[in-house]
Amino acid sequence: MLDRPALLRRLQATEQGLSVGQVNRRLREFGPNILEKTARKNYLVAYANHYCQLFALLLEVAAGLAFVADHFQPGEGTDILAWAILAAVVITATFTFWQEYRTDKVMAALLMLMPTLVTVRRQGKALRVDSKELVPGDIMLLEEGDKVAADGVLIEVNSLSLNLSSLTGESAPAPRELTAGKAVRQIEARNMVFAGTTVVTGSGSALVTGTASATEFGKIASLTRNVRKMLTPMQREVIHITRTMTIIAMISGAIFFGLGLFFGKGLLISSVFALSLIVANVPEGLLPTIALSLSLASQRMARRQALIKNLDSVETLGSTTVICTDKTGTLTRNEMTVKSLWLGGGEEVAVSGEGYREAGEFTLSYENESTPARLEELLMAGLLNCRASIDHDTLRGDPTELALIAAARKRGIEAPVLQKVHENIFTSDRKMMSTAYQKGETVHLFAKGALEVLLPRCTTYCGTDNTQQPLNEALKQQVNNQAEIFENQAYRVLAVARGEGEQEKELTLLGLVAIMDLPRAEVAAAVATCRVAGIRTMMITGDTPRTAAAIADQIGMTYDLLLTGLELERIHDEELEEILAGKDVLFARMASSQKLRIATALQNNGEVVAMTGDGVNDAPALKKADIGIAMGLTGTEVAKEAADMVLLDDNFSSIVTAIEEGRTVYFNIKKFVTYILASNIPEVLPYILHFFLKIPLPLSVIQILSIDLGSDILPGLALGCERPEKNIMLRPPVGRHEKILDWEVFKRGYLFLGFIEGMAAMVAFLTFLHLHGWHYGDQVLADPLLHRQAMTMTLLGAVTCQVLNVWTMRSWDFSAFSLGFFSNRLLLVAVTVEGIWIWMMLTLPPIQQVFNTAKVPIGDLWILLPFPILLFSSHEMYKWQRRRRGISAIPSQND
Amino acid sequence: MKVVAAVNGLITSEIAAFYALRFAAQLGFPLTLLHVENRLDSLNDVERSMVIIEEAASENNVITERVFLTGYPIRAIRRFLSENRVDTLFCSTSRHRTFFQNSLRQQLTYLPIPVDLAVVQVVRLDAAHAVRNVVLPIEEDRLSVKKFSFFASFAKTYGAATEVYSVTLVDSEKLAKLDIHLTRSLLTKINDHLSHYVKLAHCMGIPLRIKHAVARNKIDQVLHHLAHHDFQLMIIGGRRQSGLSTLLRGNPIERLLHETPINTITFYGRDNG
Repeated sequence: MLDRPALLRRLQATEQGLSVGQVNRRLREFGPNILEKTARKNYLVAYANHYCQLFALLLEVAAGLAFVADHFQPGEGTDILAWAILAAVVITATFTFWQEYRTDKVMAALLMLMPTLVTVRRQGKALRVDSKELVPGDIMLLEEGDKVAADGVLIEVNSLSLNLSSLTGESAPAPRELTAGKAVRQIEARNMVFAGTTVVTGSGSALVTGTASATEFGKIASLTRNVRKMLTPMQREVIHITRTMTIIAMISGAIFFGLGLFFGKGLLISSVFALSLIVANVPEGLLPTIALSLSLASQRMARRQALIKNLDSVETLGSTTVICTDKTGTLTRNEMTVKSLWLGGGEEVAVSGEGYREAGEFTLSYENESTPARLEELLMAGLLNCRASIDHDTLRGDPTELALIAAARKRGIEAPVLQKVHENIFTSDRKMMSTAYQKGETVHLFAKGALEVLLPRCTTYCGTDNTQQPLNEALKQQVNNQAEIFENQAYRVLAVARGEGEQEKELTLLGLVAIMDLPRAEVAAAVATCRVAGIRTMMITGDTPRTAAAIADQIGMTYDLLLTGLELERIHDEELEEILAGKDVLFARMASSQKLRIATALQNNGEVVAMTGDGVNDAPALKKADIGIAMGLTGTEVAKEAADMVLLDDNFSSIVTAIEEGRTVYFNIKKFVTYILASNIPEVLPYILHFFLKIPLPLSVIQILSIDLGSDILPGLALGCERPEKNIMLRPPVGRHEKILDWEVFKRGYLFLGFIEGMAAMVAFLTFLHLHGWHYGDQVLADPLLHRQAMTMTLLGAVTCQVLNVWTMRSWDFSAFSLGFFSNRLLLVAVTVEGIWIWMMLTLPPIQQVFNTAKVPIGDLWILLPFPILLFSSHEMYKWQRRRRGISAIPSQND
Repeated sequence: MKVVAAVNGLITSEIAAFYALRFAAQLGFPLTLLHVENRLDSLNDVERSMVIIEEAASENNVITERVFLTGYPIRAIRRFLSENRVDTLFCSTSRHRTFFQNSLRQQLTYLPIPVDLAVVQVVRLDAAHAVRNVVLPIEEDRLSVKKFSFFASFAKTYGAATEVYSVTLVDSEKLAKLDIHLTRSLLTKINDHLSHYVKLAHCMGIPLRIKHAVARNKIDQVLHHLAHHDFQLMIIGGRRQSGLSTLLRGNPIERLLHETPINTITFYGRDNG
């Protein structure tokens, strides 16, 4: 091991720090101190990809065929059709891309929250510089609360301890020294500081030895790039839907192309006909509506403290079957609180008020005249022995000390101005600290620490009459018993004593302090919701089994087995999978790196895993989990980068809220897919009937596009914004193999609602023609206006049915009347816009020209009335039947 | 025979020279500290670096000499190398390069030179003095005696544990078809081919283990391995290729050097032609 001067010399550094010239040269040699993120997204490629999706390719081919048809037979209007189809592709691609882009930007803004300034010594001066300008050889000056920006070896230490949890998962402060100790790995060296960690107490200076990706932080960050993730359920769904719809479109197009040729309709007519069927079968508005719906959901979730990075993850949340959660900060407040005190006279004092800033009350089990004085002396002794501080907006120092300060403030005690004579610092070996103050001629010593260390140094205790009484073995046993009672309740126990002189001996025991990081108030309800919703919750913590079990009990998290990190190491992967298949496990004393194994085992069992994490070491597990959830307040940049979702308030209940939102999105997408599919039948049926029967063409391709990309889009979107249904958290999670486009959707969309709409469209068309003197067999109408009016009736037949379809489709299982007319304002807007759109197509000549529509006599509109009413009432009946037969999960009276 | 370290006064070249020093000490060769004078380097910094290296050399009983050359660097170095019996030339390389920058290191790797070349990528300043674990990534069983002896010299001089990390590249289709039986037979074959190195290492008293990985991307896999383990030095084999060839075919080593989280030495065997 090199001594300090030799080390500095070897690294071409001095205690004065580097010169400006050296810094510039090293910046060129080593580059800036910036962690390279995962491959930068090429937005041009991302945008181009949207033109290579299956739907887009299909439509592009269709447009190409239309151009070819126009080339051979110009003037038939196929060129307009081609341009219209291409416009549909461009609109869809641009819209979907825009949603992705906006979400990326939101995340980029969040990552900017990382602190960027560090203090260094250069040319003998302390300077605040941008952390990316830090170079190897620089001298970092570290103070309490600072975030370390690079790896370095310590050259000065003053009671320095670091929070290494971002690297090791261990939240207890790690004391630093000038020697490495018995380190096997670099991360264990006690004379090193590491990038991404935080100074908890003390100060020091360190010589930078590695920056950017050469730091331990950077190494782990690179791991996230190499963990491959499975497709999200939504990605699989979109692939499934597009593939199914494409196959249907292609098959129907091919069949009718063949039939056209067989019946001698000629190559051109047959291809245009096939093309029209393909366009009719492809739900062009589906993908942008899904993208927009997911985007709106992610915005709603951001308002509820869950920021979604990847849109597809919204829906994955709905499929979550297991939540693996950290304890500290997520289930608990991450603020230590003094909950109980035990005074030397034997009184127990309960303390109310949680966290560092809440007010509280002291309730004594019994008291005598001297009890308040002894209580205040105990609190004062704790307060005078703290280096931490609580200001208006900042907290500095060790959490245990912050808890002592907060407890003293609850009693209205502030530290008096006394001259500090000496301080014996806390180290992990000593397990105690003491501070001596001069008051008049006397030196008073206040000590706090682990009971097993402090108790042997006490010879007396503060008795019921506030006098010093000898502390005999029986009394020591009594103190130990009380400490054990506290420890069994998962409290951290501190003994507090005072003495005279600077020596830590012959002290007077003042009492015990029981401290705990309390569960968040809303967590117990969230855990209960998960249980009802069929979601397993598992705690993975670095804390002791006793603490983990106590917190689990307090929040009602049930478990069948408690496994420690060491026990987990001895278990094979297959065995772990077997355990996790049948049992809920509570993981204690776990290292962050073990999370990846747990996530993998759960996924191998077919579970959809949501995993929380904040440290750099958590990043691989966050990346591997189906939903990686990073902590917004305490999480590292790497964890946020690896995660799919960032919790802005670090709160477990926000995960449950997000899951509810995810499930809602899944069922809302199911609803609008059904809604959109229903309008496919009135688009396809006219072509089939026109092919087989001797009737004029009931609907043009451009009119089909006006439904798919015009009148259907806004109502579909409004369905995507529906509120959660009453039974949303009573259903089991959406299965990994469960599909949006399942038999129920197909049946309702195509065979039931679609059939009614198809009937509506054709009845409107044929009745209108019949009323105006048309006879069966006339395929070409003498009056083109009559034909356009009849086609408009077909269009209106489909659209009017869709207006009531969207109202009944608002709930998958419950009556549309139970939802409230104004509960979805976007739907009201959508229906209004749809009405205006129809009016424009009926009355405005330019629109009529583009969409081949015409004004219809008002007296003929009665033809349209029966079918929307039939559709609405029959679907309501169908849902009632489902409820009656118990197919839907109905909330009980208590829910 | 001598070991030559190119020194330009920068910290990276100084650390590269420390590696050269340990290598020379292991082989009992003298160490030549070479500098080609040019306007970009500060002669004061160069001399200060040389003093530090010489002090360390005397602690390790290595004889040193200073050589200052003038003229066009690459020509001067090639002339020096052809006139002297040199075993290995050590030089450092910068982590961040520009597209148009044609560094001395790049020129040395493009051109045929009659000595072994060791290009040192320094990313951590402290790692040159305490090396506990050295890794040598290879593709399947492709390990030359030259490369192994270079690797073993470093392991021996630092008394470090060593690992040969064999990466077998497969495409996704083949990866999906691999079962335990196939994988085992594949890895056993590689182990058999490398067994004589294991014996050699055993005779030299170097703890050596062979680890395997089957991956679709060699560089990603190696970086992943480095991130997971506690290595202080990586030695890789380089292949001489011209600038045009690099432009056309790419050079995966460049990416590895750019992203490596530990100090890395790229070994280029001498051009015997």
